[in-house]
Amino acid sequence: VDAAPDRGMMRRRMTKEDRLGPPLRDVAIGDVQALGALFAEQRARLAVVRENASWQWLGGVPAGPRAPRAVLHGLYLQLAFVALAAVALILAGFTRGPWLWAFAALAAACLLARAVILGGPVRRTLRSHHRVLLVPALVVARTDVRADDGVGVPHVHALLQPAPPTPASFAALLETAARLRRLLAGEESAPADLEPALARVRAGATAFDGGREPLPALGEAFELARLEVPPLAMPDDALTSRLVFVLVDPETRGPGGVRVAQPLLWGPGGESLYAALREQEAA
Amino acid sequence: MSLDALRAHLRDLEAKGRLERQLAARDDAMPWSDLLWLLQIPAFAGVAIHVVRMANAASATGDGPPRGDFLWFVALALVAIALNRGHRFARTPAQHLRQRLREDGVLAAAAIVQVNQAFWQDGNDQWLPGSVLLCFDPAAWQQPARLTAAAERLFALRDQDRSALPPEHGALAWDLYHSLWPVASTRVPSDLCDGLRDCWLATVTFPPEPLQQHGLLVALALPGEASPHAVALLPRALATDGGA
Repeated sequence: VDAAPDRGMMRRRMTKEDRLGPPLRDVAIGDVQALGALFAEQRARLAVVRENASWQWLGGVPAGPRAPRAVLHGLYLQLAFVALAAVALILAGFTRGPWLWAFAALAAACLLARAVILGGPVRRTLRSHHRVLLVPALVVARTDVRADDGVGVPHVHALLQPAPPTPASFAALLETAARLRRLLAGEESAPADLEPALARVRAGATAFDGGREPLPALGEAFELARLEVPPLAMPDDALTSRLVFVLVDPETRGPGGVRVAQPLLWGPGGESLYAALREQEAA
Repeated sequence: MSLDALRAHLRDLEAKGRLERQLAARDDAMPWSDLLWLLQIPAFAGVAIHVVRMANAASATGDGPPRGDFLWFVALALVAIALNRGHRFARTPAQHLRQRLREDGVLAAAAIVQVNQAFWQDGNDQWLPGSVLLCFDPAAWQQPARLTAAAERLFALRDQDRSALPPEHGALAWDLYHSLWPVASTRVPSDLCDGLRDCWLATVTFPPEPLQQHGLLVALALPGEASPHAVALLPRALATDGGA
């Protein structure tokens, strides 16, 4: 897809200062200045993707839970159009009758169906790619599910805030995620309005489709996402820390609204924060 | 092979339709322009069938072809010609630019600034992303060490504090640091290029075995064009393709 609408708008959102600063190699958990620089750098990375329409870094176009099916159906319809158009063009040498017009109409129908099947998801994805935020999420519950190729794919519940991150909001996220883990472990009594959500997490029966739900009992800003963490999307090819940087669409709480960001979007600073949280947990 | 001979060889390959597949592919699996080009085959077949049928009918009756059949022939011929000549209008802007690159691109010297580590592994057979310092100044071919030294200076920017650099240098440092590929090329100030003119930092895909000339990589590029589609590193196999 060659489209890059709203480029001007995206430029306004990222300030030039976001891309300035030293290379971030080590970001400590409590280092407010480094955390601020990290989040600014990640905004700038997202802006680079948007300015250059390099959508593969955000999951491609179209993206989302039904995207592979839409792409496949689009491909089938493209092939069907070519086959039907070829038959119609040859038939045109023999007849100008109903058989010719039937094949021509079928070919046109394939084009139309392709535009309908693929056009919607493509437009929705592009709009979402221009909206998404790169935010830290903290894993509070995890189940490893073995994929067809034998590799364990973590299905996780992760706490996040669908708003531009700041050092203060990250500190609040760390604190609230720790509390949520204690609540899930039964080490602390849970407020009554949080119990249904905790029961759903404990049961683990939800679809890990990138959807999320608000948790007002923990604070207005917090939401609980359920998502798959592809091991190859992790800096060390496995989920070894509680921290994951995710792309979150603030306007979509449904499936596909949250997905794991690729490590190049995290930056080396993000990877060092990921490692710091792993070491903190191990200690 | 001299650069002039190489450019002539590339034109020859392009005329035979063999250059595109030798350069890094970034297209969808089934571009519309190719599919429409293929459809001209059944379209011309339809025209031929209609002409034969029209001629048979005319010889059987001894009259000329009916006006309706003749108009139908004209319509079919127009469709076939439209597919033959017009498939290029279905190209995306990126495909258009790559077409221009193959037809009008010039050979430019290039030096490696950074490349995916797998490029250096023995037996690497993949096309991998990286950045090159591209130079349209003919002086680069005469003094390759100037360009390679400039590329090293450029790479050193990557680990510097961008807020302490002049804005132009900071922009280059940022492009190298974020490593998100592909991005638009950036003009490099001549003070970073040892006085060489018209130098650009460009993201490219490296062929497993790039073509080298005078110790520099050889790129096909459109001068003044910043799109990443306007530059391609040439693989070594190109120099031998077609026995040139």
